Amino acid sequence: MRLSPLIEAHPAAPWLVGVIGAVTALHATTSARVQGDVKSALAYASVSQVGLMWVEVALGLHTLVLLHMVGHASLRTWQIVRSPSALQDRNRLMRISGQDLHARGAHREGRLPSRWELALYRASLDRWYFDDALRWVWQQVTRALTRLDALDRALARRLGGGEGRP
Amino acid sequence: MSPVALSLLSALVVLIAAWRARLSEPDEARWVALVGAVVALLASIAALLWSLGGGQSVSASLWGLTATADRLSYTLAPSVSLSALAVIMALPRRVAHSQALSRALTRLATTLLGLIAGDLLTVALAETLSGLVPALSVPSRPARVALWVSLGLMWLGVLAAPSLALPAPEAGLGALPLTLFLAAAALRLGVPPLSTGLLDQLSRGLCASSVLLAAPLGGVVLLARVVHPGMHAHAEGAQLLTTALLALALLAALTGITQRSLGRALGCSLAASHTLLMVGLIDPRSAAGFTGGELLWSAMLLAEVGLVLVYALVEARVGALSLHTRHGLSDHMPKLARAGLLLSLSAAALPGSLDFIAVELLLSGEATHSVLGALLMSSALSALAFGIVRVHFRVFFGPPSLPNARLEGLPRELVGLSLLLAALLAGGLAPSLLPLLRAAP
Repeated sequence: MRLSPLIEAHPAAPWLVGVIGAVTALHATTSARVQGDVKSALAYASVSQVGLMWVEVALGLHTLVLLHMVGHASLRTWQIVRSPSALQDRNRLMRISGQDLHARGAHREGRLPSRWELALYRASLDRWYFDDALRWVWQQVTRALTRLDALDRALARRLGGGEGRP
Repeated sequence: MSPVALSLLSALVVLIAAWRARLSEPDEARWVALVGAVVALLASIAALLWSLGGGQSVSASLWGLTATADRLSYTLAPSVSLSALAVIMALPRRVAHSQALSRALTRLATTLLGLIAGDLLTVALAETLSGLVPALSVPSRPARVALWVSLGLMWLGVLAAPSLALPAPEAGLGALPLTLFLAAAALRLGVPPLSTGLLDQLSRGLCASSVLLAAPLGGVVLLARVVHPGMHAHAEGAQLLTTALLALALLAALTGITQRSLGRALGCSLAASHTLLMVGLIDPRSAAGFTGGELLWSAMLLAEVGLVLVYALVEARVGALSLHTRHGLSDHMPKLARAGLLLSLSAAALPGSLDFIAVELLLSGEATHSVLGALLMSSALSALAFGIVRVHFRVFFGPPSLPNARLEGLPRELVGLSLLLAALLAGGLAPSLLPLLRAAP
């Protein structure tokens, strides 16, 4: 939001911000829906809301972004604070009733052909391979930075230094 | 007494204390140095209060050299004095020999003189005196070479400058002297790729010389008083230079994250911070960016000196540390760990600290001019924060590595670090007390 005057001054910038936000929201929403623990699900749900906020910034809806941010912060804080006791309550209910409490409601993914649904589930479970991609990128960056650092150490040795610890 | 006379007098007292400390035994030298630093701190606080009471810039002339006390000196002098006081109090006994304490005081006195320098010759003389101390004493040869070359470039710049007066913003400064001054300041600060000396010295361990070299004392007055007004006539060049420097800051911060040696990781973080400081101080396009640069200098003098001191104290107790594994030292030195955490977070621009205000101004100044610059700056700041916090986690977090060992900091060490923390938080929570911000447009 602080950068919005600059973003609006460049024709491509709102598109870039909007696309990044939309991709983030889509990635985080699908990943959140397959998480096995409440903390990860809440974390991904937060990321998806941030993605939506980016889309709103790209559309120039600054008041909506503020409202969204405040509302989301309040709701998410409550959810994070409530989640441990909610799990405890659920387990107690299950103990009292003696039966499993199944999740209710329909999933839109169920309308997809089963092959697609499975592929979507697999990709979401693997977080759309973003972690692997990021790990690969970081490995390449680290390799390049290590080479640069080796050059600096070599220069230090040529200047009569480099006697320090490795 | 005028603030100029007060600064000159306190610098003189500090110089006498430095000379006396050099001739004393280590324990006595610490007391002498402490007195010198306290005198400087009290004088700088008196000048600050005078400024808060409505005092303006004051100039005086002595033997043809001009001295000026203004909002920069009123704000920076307490930070410089306090960082020197903390170094004198918290420097580990193993490395706090008489010469080291004397050097800390000499650098304090020369920086105080540099802050009130009112013409190019006085700035160059103060920078030379400030640079000679490490140039004659730092163990690392690359660091000494960098300091000597930097001093040479600065004097070449003085010879090439059209006059010995400080450049006026509308008149600017010629391209040749400006380039020479920029190169001299970059070498003094350890801006990558000219950071070989700084990194080499810190790789050797966190001794007194490393702590002194880590404090951004040299080259900064040159940037603020000479280069910044001179850059107004070269706005396009400044834009290009700023973008290049921001890319280098990002590179240095990322390199810090990949390091396994504590000293080198700290060195990379310092190089990245010093680059951001240079970006702020040469920015002729926005007053907010320049004020952010000046405040960042003040904040870095407190946070970075404190951070390097914490790790120097840790190394003095457990020896050299690798960042390959977690050392879990917080169980053995909980108070030092807490001080280290607060200083790390402050150096990472924790909201409520002086660094946060400086970084906010710096970012605001950059964001009004360039999307690329703002992106690079925010990326560099994030990488820098990650690197600093990573070092803290590796050193203090994890399972305890030394069974039943209690290695807590001594009271004088903890008081020194607490003073730095208190100043960082006071500046962050009450920014209206800073003359730099009160006088900002």
